[in-house]
Amino acid sequence: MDSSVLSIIITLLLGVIILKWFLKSDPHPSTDRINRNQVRGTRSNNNARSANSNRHNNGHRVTADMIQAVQNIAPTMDVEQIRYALQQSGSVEITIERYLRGESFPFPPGYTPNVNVGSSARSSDEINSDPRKRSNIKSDNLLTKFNININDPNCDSEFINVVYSDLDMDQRKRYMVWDARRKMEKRLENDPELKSLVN
Amino acid sequence: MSKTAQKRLLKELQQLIKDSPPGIVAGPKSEDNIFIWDCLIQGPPDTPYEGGIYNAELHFPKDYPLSPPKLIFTPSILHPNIYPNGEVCISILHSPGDDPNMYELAEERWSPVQSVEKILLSVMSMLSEPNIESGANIDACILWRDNRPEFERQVKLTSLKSLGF
Repeated sequence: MDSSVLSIIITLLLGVIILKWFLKSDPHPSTDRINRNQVRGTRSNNNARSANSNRHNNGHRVTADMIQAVQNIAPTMDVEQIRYALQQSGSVEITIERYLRGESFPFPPGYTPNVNVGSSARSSDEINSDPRKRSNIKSDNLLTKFNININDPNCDSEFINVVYSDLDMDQRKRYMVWDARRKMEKRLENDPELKSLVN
Repeated sequence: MSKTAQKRLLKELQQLIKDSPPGIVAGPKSEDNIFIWDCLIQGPPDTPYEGGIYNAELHFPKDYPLSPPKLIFTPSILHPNIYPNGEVCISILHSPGDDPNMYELAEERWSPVQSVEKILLSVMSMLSEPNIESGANIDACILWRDNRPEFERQVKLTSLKSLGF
């Protein structure tokens, strides 16, 4: 009798744990405002945890490509902040994950950041509250990025008459940018409204 | 778990190389890391994004496909459902399960049966039809709702500049 009561209690407990596990899900981003205080608490815990683990790291090798990869996602972060974070984690992914979680990134010990003293603590707090609100809306020149010299007379010969499916991934990207540029040139000839934006 | 993710990503990559949807190119950013992909997405026709090419990165978690990847435009673009830092906010990229706010159906959210191809097609669809009820960039939502010509002007200008005009 006793053992059957015990097994019922254990089954019930396991049931509750499994139910909790399945009901756990990420909230919709629109609930951010409601949960902000809770998130701040979690973030400070994470910071404490990462600071604790950093003490055990000796520093990983950091390349310019790694810094660039993080900077693409976190344009407002100082290069020294990124370098220091990468030295600690040794991973671009972990650093970006930390950034997207809204964690704060310290400067390396002894480094004095060149900051604008006039910027208020309030605006800095606002930016730190949600990294997704830091604007990175701008235009990168894709011709430069994919090394396409549109003014080179031999430029078109690289792309005309190619079989798209035969191209590798990088060639497909370059083809796509070249094709878009040429199509846009034609469109500009017939669309005065669009043309007015260029002038 | 990471091995499963790698296998699945390689399979999806092979499929995308073999038969990629028009206007989409996506693949790992570097050979030594399959968890970060670089993508080019063509702006859909009959939208202010038409003719533009947009660069984005996909960041896959180690437990992919159980959890969804993150899609971030690099640089960001003006759109109601794209955060100012470039992160895309659409239902297919939200964790599996029910939405606590009841905005999204469970079947619209991420599940392991979804794929990179479906994500990128959903993003093209998002560019065509913004959903301001679930906005990520409030300024873009207001501009899109209240001053459409200015919204379109800003989007077109960015597209032109990115193509070197």
